[in-house]
Amino acid sequence: MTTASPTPVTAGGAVYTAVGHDRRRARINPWVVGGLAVYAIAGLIGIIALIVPSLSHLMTDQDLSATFKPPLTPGHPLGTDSLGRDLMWRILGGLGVSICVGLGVAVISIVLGLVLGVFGGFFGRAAAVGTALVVDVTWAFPAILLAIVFAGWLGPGLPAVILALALTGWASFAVIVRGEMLSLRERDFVSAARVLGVSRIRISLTHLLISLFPVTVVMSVFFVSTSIVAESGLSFLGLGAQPPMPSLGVILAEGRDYLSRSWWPVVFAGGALTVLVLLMNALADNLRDRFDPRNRSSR
Amino acid sequence: MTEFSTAHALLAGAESRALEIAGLEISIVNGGTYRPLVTDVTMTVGDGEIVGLVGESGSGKSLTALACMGLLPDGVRVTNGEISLDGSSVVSATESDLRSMRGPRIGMIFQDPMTSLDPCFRIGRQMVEAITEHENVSKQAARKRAVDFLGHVGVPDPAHRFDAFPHELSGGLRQRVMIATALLLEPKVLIADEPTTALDVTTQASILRLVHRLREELDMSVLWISHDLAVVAQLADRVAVMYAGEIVETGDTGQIFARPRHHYTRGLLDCASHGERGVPFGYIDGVVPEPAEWLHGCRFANRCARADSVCAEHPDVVGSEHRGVRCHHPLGEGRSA
Repeated sequence: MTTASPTPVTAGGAVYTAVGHDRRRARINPWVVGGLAVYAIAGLIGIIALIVPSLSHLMTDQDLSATFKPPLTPGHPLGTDSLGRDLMWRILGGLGVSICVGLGVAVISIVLGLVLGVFGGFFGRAAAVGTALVVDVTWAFPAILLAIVFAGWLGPGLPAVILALALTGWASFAVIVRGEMLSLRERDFVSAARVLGVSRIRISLTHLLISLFPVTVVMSVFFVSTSIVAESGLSFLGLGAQPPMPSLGVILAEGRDYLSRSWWPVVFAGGALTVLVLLMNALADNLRDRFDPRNRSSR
Repeated sequence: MTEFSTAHALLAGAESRALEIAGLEISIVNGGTYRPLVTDVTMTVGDGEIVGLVGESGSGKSLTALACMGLLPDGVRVTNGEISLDGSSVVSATESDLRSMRGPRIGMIFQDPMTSLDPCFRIGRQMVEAITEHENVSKQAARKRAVDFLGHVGVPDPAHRFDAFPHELSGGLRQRVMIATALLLEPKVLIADEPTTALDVTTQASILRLVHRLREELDMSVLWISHDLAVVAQLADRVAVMYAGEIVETGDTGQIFARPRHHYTRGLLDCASHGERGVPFGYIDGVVPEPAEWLHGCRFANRCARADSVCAEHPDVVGSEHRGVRCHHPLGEGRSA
């Protein structure tokens, strides 16, 4: 994680001058961006393969004459699983599912968290108490319990997973937003807008939302990465993606049964998941450093 | 509240008042209990008049100003008295009434121009926001008026500065932008809460000249809050001195500075330099008491050299709006009483 130095000349000036006016800011590690770009492409291929009917057979077709083929088998670069399905396509599909769930959960959590956090932090005491109550009730339910409830209601599958994760995840973001609001609302420019008769709704929609931008971006990335892990966990337990739909959690669960016979499904699926989450967390960390005004030499 | 009736009698005497505060009490309210922070503040600001409100930090000046805007913080409320703005009550106004008052009828500028502008937006956008919130005008018309006002308050190259971000402007320019923004809706009353404290002395002088000029041009009333006596002496027509949440002396600026009658005012003046070499600054022993530590009698008694047994009783303001003092032993009276 490269962080900007206040004196760029002494700290490898060539690198810093190369990025021009941004040289005072913490940089985003290019390896992280590159890695995530690879994942994005892989996930996109997976999503396309999942939704285009003529392609989805690539990840669901069974071939019982070609089970447990090791990696680098012709036609199966990553080998096959216990039913002879191609592992590379299964993992691509799994990544597509992971990305869809991650983005879905992040969007819902961020919207809910922003709305309730701003409302609870800026619209008086009654609103603050009401929001705190909703957050506390939400925190009383573990995501896994909610996932079982939604699985029972909607049937097990990705919508139930997204709902369960979003409806528990937003609360922590709402608390962060509310904390930011409590500090922002005392800022002079908020008072200055209020003495001009600007309404509180308008102040929240302009001055406050833009001030919340950094924490929102960082938290979105964080939500995507935690939701990906949670989705794999729920799918591993059978609450998420249902066969024959591929998911990293499902591949792990199926691969576990034959671990002594074939190591590759677990290693490749687990490795893909681990590296993806590490990259996302590194990106969140980089972004946080970049947005932090304390990391700049002047305002 | 005997002072309350005298306050009304006093107010009836004045001719036209843009802002009048009568018997104002502001308290922290917590469930059934409350603790007063400001008590029995009575003052008026006449049309086109500049009134200075002076006092040390913690004396309740800013709370009084915020109460006039209807912007007291959560848990702090007006618990007695009345504030009226050109005849209409601020205390009993609803939030939407207040919002339509803020801007067109009463404006306010703050101490620190560095933080009063949102760093994320161009200053022009923040000015236009104020206009469009109150009036149904086109973006172009609002922009034109904002640029006019920027020029009016002495911002050089206003059309260009309109698109500047706050960090591109100096402190003095930013305070001019704040003043221009506050004046955009041509309020009758401008409350200035220590607006020159954060500026250097030359900038301060130009801002004072600006306020003087704008008062003449716009026929505006100004309540100027400050702890800087020199600034108030230059600017104000009348002065009110606050101590521990109440007004202890009022009077015309010349009289207050030439012949203070309250021992606290005397002490404040002694603390200021008179430019004579070798004469040490005066000082007032002790600190402004917290509201919880207010004495039941005269609140200044424990820091006052003249205090005696009579001062265990709380004094009322004696005199008029133009010359009033809250003291059992006012200065300049001899021992005749």
